[in-house]
Amino acid sequence: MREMIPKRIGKIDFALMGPKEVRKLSATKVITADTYDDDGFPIPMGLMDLHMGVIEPGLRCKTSGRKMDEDPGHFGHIDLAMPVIHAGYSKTVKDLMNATHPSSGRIMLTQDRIDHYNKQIQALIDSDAGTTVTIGGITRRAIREAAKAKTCPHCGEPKIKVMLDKPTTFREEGRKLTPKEVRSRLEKIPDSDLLCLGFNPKITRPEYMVLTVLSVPPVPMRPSITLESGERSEDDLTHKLVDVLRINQRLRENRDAGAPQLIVEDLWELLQYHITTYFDNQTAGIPTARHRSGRPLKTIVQRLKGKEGRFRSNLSGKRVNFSARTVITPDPYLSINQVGVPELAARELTVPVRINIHNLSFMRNIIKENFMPSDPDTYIPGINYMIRPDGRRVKLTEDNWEFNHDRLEPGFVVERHLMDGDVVLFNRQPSLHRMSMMAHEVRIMKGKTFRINLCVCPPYNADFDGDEMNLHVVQSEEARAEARILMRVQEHIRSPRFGGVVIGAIHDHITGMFLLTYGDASYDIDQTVRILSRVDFKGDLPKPDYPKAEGGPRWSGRQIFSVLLPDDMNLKYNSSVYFADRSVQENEDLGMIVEIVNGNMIKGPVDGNSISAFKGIILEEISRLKGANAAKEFIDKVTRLAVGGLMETGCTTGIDDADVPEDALAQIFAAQKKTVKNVDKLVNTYNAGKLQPRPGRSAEETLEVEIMSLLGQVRDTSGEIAGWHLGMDNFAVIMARSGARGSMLNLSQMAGSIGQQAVRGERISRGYEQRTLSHFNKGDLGADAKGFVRSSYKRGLNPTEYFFHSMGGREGLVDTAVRTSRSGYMQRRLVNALEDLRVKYDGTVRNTANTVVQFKYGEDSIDPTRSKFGSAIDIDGLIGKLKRGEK
Amino acid sequence: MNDNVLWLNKLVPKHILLDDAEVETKLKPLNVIREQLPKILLKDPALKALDNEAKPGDVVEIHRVSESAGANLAYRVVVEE
Repeated sequence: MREMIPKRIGKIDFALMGPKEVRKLSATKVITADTYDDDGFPIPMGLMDLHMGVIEPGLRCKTSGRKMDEDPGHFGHIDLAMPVIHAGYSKTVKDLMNATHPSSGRIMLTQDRIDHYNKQIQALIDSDAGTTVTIGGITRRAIREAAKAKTCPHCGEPKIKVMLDKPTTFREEGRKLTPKEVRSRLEKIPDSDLLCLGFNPKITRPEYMVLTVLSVPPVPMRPSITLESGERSEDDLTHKLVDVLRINQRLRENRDAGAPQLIVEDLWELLQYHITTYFDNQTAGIPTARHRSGRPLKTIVQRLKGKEGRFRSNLSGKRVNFSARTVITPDPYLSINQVGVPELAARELTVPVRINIHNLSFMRNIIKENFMPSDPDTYIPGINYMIRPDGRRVKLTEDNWEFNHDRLEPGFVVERHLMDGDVVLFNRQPSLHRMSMMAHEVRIMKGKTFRINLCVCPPYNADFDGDEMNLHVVQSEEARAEARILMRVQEHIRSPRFGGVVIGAIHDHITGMFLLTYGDASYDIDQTVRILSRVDFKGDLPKPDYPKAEGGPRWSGRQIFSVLLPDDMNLKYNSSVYFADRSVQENEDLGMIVEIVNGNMIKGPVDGNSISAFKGIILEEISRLKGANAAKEFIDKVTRLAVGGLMETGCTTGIDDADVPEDALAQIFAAQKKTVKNVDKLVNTYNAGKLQPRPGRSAEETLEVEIMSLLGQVRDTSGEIAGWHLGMDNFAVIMARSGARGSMLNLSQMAGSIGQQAVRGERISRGYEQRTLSHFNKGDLGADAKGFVRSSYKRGLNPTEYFFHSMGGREGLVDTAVRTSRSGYMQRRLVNALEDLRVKYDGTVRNTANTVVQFKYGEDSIDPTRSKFGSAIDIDGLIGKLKRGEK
Repeated sequence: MNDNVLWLNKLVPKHILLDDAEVETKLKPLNVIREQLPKILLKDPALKALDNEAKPGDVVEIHRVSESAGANLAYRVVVEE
């Protein structure tokens, strides 16, 4: 595996290629603006000349004699009839012309200043500390100083400023300078002046920025493709080079024939255009060159630049083997660190295994089982390829398997199909944080989708509306160990972002646990055993909470749940259903405060605040104190228990969950009517000019603020009225209160009133002149005219309300779209800036140059993953421990 | 030398110029050499407040208030540009 390093690169110089070098590099001169002759053979000295490489099988390169695919090709060249500016350097050319004097060619600085700058640059070069940036800074200052000079200190003549008309036209007092003139000016600059202009005269001369000869890229860099119809289609670069050659030819003919100046100049400019677009077809200031179909040509810069360019797409972007992608579906009976892999994928994905005396018989057996299955219904991994000790790869087939089965022996490497327990990396894009790619254990399954436990949805941000995920099989022993230790799902239950859990129960699991444990829910022996069997509970049943209940002893849901808790757990916290508007005592009496004593849950329901991702306190406690594996175990069991609990109770919701009694509706309407009247009153006061403005606000603003607050209040009141009639017997309410899904606001909008619609945080005011819609009077500032929606979702909106609601909804959609794209770009910049920082063993954060970024990681040296929501110690927990007399 | 008005604002962390002996004693335990320090421009207003005593190559100690750790010390080396 380890190869010798034939040469080590010590230093790279970047420089311009001069005409001499271009010709030296060239394998052939190109003169014919054509590619193939009628027989389809490359025309000599044409753009597909065989000296520049071959793209057809059978032919041989005339320069190196190699065949197609062996030959990377060779450059050619085109001699330009007239020189042409390289558009990429036009700005540098302008600066150089302004810093030097046209008659003497000297930089317009006194010898003292030249020496001064030369000394600085030379010092940087000698010390080897100079970077392009630091030297560039000095030359820039030198050029700026020289450009300021009115007269040349060497010849004493005045200087005329050269202007640049982008991209390639130079003007001196309005007179156009031809590229020829530009080039002769640059040629005049003496070598001795070049150093402080930023050139190393031994390598590069400034006149190289005006082209006299154009390098032609090798044929394999711009291969032509043969369409099904047998028609040849050339690469965009070839097309562009054809244009260049054609105009170049015409320009030469016209010049030699002594054609009028005007015609020659036109052709010259056209040549300039073609060469400019050949380099960059998106040069500002000139039209883009297009294909016959109207598609813009993809020329050199376009090949390199941007997301689809060579750098970001091919060099930084990596494509991999041993990977699979398919739709994901949920499976609560998988552990959080497992992933269900379809058989179809498992038989394509392989793991290299070196044969030794211990696994030889196993491997022989699976080869046999795969071609002569004893039980076709069970999945048994097979082997796709055998790699013999001499390095030859042999594919196992129906015909050769018996032979290869027999000669398999230690020293061989086989590529074994995926099997249960293999470690794979699982990923969902966008990969925004490290939990977007975690290591899972494989479980081979029937079907065609990847199966995951629902608790790992939050870190991946996955749902099952068609999401697809990627799977990568790690190939080496080192990678496997690394994935196992660092990347396994349980190692990521705690987030490094905020020191809480990111993996935990969601949606139905929360509802399930809540229904199992809320209030005085209890279960008879059959139910209890059925539920507990789902978590593989072994041992004696706890003493029933209701031993003398009718029809036999009954166990409370809390007891059943307590089976999963560690014995030394003591906690007291508010549950999700805690009434924020009532006193602690009241909540205590209602059983809204959770209390766990010595691993037994005495009070309170298990809901969002206990076990959910991001908020779950019990989960947080277990993962912090008992470690990753215990937390994994706990989450797995909670998942199963929740399903068990849900199966006993059932849960359903529908539109009738938003039903409220007639008198409640009447109350809501009355409250609305009253508010709307109050709004009208406010508007009248305002119209009469009697509204007292609030400090710092105009009268209009005051009116708006007051109306908004009134309408906000009425939405809350109608929500409250609706809420009184929606009790805990209502599954929609249960889901909202327990933190499973939805909120009470959502419910009151369904049952009570949707409320004020807003665009840009204000009541809706756009539309027609002085009114939002033609249904209202001009200048109407009342509630209905400015986007207040009295209706509920269930009763339905009237047309004007519907319109306002759509306006508000549109803003929401646009906001999310803008937010995602913006935050994505921000993330990219942030990652690029920070990717090579790391925490060293001495606790400092340093970059690759070993310079310090932080003297102490996070300034407090705390690993947030091991903290409790960011703080290193859990003071409340410690106090509780001391109170109980533990140490 | 450091009772300049600039430090009166709580948002401006206090900068202290270290002499060579201090630099030695303070950087040694951090396992950091001068070249590895973050930089501070000579024209930084905080250095001007040190009565222009700082020169390129000097090290300043900055008493920062950190959100995560409360008080925090940082060191920067003065550079011209």
